[in-house]
Amino acid sequence: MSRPEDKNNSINLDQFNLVFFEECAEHLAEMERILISLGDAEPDSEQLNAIFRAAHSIKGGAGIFGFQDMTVVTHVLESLLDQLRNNEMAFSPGMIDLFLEAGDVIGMQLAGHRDGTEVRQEAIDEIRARLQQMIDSGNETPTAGTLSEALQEKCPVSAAPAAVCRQYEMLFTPDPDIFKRGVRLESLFSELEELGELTVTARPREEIELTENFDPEICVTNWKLSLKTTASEAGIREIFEFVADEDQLQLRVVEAADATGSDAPKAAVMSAPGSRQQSAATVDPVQAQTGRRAYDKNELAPGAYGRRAGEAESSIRVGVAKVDQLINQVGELVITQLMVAQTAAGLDPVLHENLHRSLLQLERTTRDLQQSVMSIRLVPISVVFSRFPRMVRELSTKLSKQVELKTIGDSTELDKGLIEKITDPLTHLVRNCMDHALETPEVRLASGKETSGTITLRASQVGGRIVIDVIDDGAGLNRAKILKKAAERGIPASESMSDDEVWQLIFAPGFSTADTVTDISGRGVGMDVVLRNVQSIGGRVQITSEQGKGTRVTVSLPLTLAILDGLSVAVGSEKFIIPLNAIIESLQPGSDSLKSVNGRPVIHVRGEYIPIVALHELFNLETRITDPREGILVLVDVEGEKAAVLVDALLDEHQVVIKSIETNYRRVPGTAGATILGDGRVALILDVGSLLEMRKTTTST
Amino acid sequence: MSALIRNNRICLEGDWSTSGIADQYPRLLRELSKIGAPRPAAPELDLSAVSALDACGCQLLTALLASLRRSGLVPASASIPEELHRTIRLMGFGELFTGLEQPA
Repeated sequence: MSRPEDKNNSINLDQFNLVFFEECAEHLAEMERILISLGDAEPDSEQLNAIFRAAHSIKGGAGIFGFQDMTVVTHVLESLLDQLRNNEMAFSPGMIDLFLEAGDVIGMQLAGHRDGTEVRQEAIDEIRARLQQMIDSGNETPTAGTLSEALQEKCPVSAAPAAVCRQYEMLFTPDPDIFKRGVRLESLFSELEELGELTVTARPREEIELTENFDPEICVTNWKLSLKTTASEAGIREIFEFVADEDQLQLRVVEAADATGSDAPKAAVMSAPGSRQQSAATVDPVQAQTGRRAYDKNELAPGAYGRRAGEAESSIRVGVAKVDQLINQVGELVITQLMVAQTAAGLDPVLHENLHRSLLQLERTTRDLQQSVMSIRLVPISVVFSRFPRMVRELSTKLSKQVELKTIGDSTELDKGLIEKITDPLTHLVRNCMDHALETPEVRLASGKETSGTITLRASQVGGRIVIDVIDDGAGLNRAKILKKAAERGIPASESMSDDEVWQLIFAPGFSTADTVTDISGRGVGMDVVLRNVQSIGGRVQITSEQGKGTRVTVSLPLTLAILDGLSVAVGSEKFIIPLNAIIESLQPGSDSLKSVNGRPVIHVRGEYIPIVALHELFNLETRITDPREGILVLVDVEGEKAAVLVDALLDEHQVVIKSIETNYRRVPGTAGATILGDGRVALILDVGSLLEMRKTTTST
Repeated sequence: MSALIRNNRICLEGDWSTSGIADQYPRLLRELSKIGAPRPAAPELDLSAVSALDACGCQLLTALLASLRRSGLVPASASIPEELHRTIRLMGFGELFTGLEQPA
């Protein structure tokens, strides 16, 4: 046995709880996904089994990790689902909403344990009662407020009216490491206690000597349990499902005449499930059904829980922090490889042929490693899209609108960090569509449209960016209303503005043309927050709209926040990186192409007057090149807005590792981070969009 | 002088659940080794300062009481908070305290 030494050996149960929280969230999401996909249709047996499995797993995990409150609703939900899948009860469409609400309550309890958020007990009691009422009364779908008195009673077991009370004797011999695994036996025994009269006797397997060689975290105790209950043997075994292998729980039924409450187990042989050693006198043939664990071995057994044969575990769970650390370390490796390559560049390629060849191989391998590591953080956008079917369903009912949601490009992948940050903005955009853009069926019909409106979420990868479109076929933006509202709010606007310029007005803080404020949207605190949130992750938002036809909001995001393809440029003694995907071209202007408009220097290129952004002015750098004719102008395009960035010289193209300045120093305006070049120097990565904003601010003061 | 024995009481305190047992055990061993003569007669087992107890802790408690009994320290009474008593009973260790009266 290992020797307990110091605090480092203490079991940190938080790590086990975190695993349960994640798995529970996944099960809840899976339940919701299946339920939403049904609409109001009856689930087939496969779907029902999958929903049951999810509820069952949540209940089992909650019981093991001591979140007893979460077993309450899941137990009743599980019972109801079991009746459905055993055809003991007919399905009714109202059950879908009831199950969804049950999932919400379980989610609330999960959030309470995980995040410390408020848990409303009345919601738990209500949903549990409604589920129980459905079990008790058959097909009727109870709504809130129609509870019978019977629901007030504690009813942990849905017993049939003519249930037989039996006495079970159990011998539980758990794994020695059951304590170390974080299993809370108190929760297990509490659950047994809810089934009936329970008597427990603990017996150490061996005499324990309190010495340094004894490990108190090793379980050396067996338990004898006696339970008088109307529950079935299968129901009892289910409680031990996640903690005991078949040979660790021996259970027998004592005949009613033998159930005298004696502590001493009978001489009759204890049986494990499937064992041939069962006394016919002690086993009720009606209840002699093999327990859950037998089905674990045969996925295709009748009554098996619907798992497909051969469903093997093909992934492992890794913490995000570990992945980020790995990405960071690979990033450092890339920088070091660049530095080595730069140093070797000065060596004679003939004399050092092997070294150069090896460095080339190192560069290829390092890039491959970087790509592989980066891909770990990529998740499909379906993770975000999957939340909207439920939202659209509920809002449709609330707003009395008919809405069909379509998603395209669900498998488009982007960085996990972006997924988390894009969820709120997309949610707001969809809610806006539902509330303001899409008309009621009557209005749509009068306009010659289908009664059902459509919201399309489309994701794709274009160049080095992810593009997400939120498209509706609703009323479109009302240009006149927007201009009127802008005038009322003192925002500069005129009739001569293009549609694109008018649409940008809705991003002003507090801007809303909604006639009424609903609890869904219309307070005017949304679009500016959407823009800000998207821009904070290096994204852009564009709007296209046609009155009467619909609107498209396009959000474009960088593929990842960790690496970037860029062009390094020199300004004085400093180096900067300009993102390649923003660059149109570079040129050295002649005198005839340099103009001035309203006192601002511009360059005339192919009929356009493009403002010049002098980096040395913006960043207050000393350089001998202040005249564009002596430097290089790098033409950039940011969401349709162009600029010509004046630099001293172009250096090289790189794929650079983005390092955050903000976390290491402070936020530097006009930059999206920094990187370390091959010569070991730090180069700022330009945020071209914010550079243009800086220029406007500087020029106007 | 062992910190376990105070005023004719065997005093246990702190976290006696799986989370805290690894810390408890070395301290327990140290204090056990300090128990010397004269041993208190009919001591009270005082668990009022135990903040948490589970099956793992009950197992250790069983071993501790057995060890104390072998060394002549046989508790005559026990002061156990209701919550801990429920856990002890639920986990099947109630026999440990059979015959131990609550102190007056």
